[in-house]
Amino acid sequence: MKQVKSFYDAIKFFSVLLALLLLSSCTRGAPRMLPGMLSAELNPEQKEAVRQNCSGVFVAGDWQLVHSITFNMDLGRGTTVLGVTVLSGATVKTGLMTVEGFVLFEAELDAAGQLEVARALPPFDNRNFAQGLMRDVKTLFLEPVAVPVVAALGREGMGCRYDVAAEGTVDLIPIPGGSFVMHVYDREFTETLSIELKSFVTQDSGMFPEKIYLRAPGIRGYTLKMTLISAEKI
Amino acid sequence: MLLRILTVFLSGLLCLTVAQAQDAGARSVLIRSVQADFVQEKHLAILAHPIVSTGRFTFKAPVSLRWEYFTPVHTVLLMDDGRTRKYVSQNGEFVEEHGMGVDSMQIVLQEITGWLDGEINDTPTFIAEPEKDGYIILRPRDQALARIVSRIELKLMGTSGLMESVTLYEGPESFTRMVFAEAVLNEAILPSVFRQP
Repeated sequence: MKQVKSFYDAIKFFSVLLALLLLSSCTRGAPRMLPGMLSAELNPEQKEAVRQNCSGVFVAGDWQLVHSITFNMDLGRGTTVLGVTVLSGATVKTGLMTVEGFVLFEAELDAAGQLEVARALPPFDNRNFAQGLMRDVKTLFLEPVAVPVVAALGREGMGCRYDVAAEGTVDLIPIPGGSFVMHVYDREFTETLSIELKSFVTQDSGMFPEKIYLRAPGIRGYTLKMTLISAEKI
Repeated sequence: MLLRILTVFLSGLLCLTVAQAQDAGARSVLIRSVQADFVQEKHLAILAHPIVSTGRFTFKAPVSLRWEYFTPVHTVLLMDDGRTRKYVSQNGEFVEEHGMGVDSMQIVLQEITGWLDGEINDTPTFIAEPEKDGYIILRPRDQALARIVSRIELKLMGTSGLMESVTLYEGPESFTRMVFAEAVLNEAILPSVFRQP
């Protein structure tokens, strides 16, 4: 039984390690604050084109996405897992598993915001972790429920601002080369997520960023590098 | 990384002989090396389509192992001379992953060598239940482990003494199935296979 205990301890060790990677701080400096908005000198058709460009970043319809996800921390340490995202309307299902397929976390966030965790190995059996992860996934793939305002957003230029009453603000800005940068701010106008979406590719008639770099600033900040493995319409 | 712990010790099962499987009293066939390709399917309740991975498994007695996934993410797990390392391909180059729990891998190695040298139902981790048509069911002895792996189903490859498939059940709708092919037994393998990604 000693060996069994050691084996289980080993599994717990890995879970704790991964959680530390998730929660470890790798970003420093003052938090970014919501920049002011300058009126866009565009005609209505041009504004609509920008809006459509922004909407195209998000996933529409029912899809199954698989990414490799590398969690990074200081000193170059990191670990790689597979992330599964199943989108069906406003419902988001997410799974985190090892490359070998062992499920670390599985949860569903329905359209009403109800979270159901099907599997979460310790220490992922933490409600805050589950809510934070599902929030990040929703932010990445689903367009905010708000009419975007097209405007000049700080130094990064023209983009779309989504003001989501209950949650905060999302700025989505196209950058040269077909990429986008997204900044998410809370109700106190402090940045909570910074996301780069790069190298859009067509898979199964949909457009998806092949590379996603997500950075959550602050003491419990983290960075994720996501690489698209597959996108399948369901 | 957690599944690595499990799948790697499962890899020892690839070397399980028919004699071991069908007759707990039989002696082991001497295993010097095993190589096989595998296709892995991950099934999960939330998945509309399973995630398919491919790779190759290489084992050399007593404790050298190369567990390589080619797709969807190219990773190599190496165990040799008491050392365990894991590499992930990034931009065409292998990068060593740190903090992967070398101590944990020693536990895995104990499982592997235990299966190779002794009887399958002697493992302190699982209870083996031989079934019809070349299947063996392994059930965890420990309830804590049972919450992570409910059972493991092994299918033997005819009378060759090799495994045809390994299915690891995490829950009713969550399982990982590895199907092996092109297995080669007791062929010489260069030491570098277990030392370089």
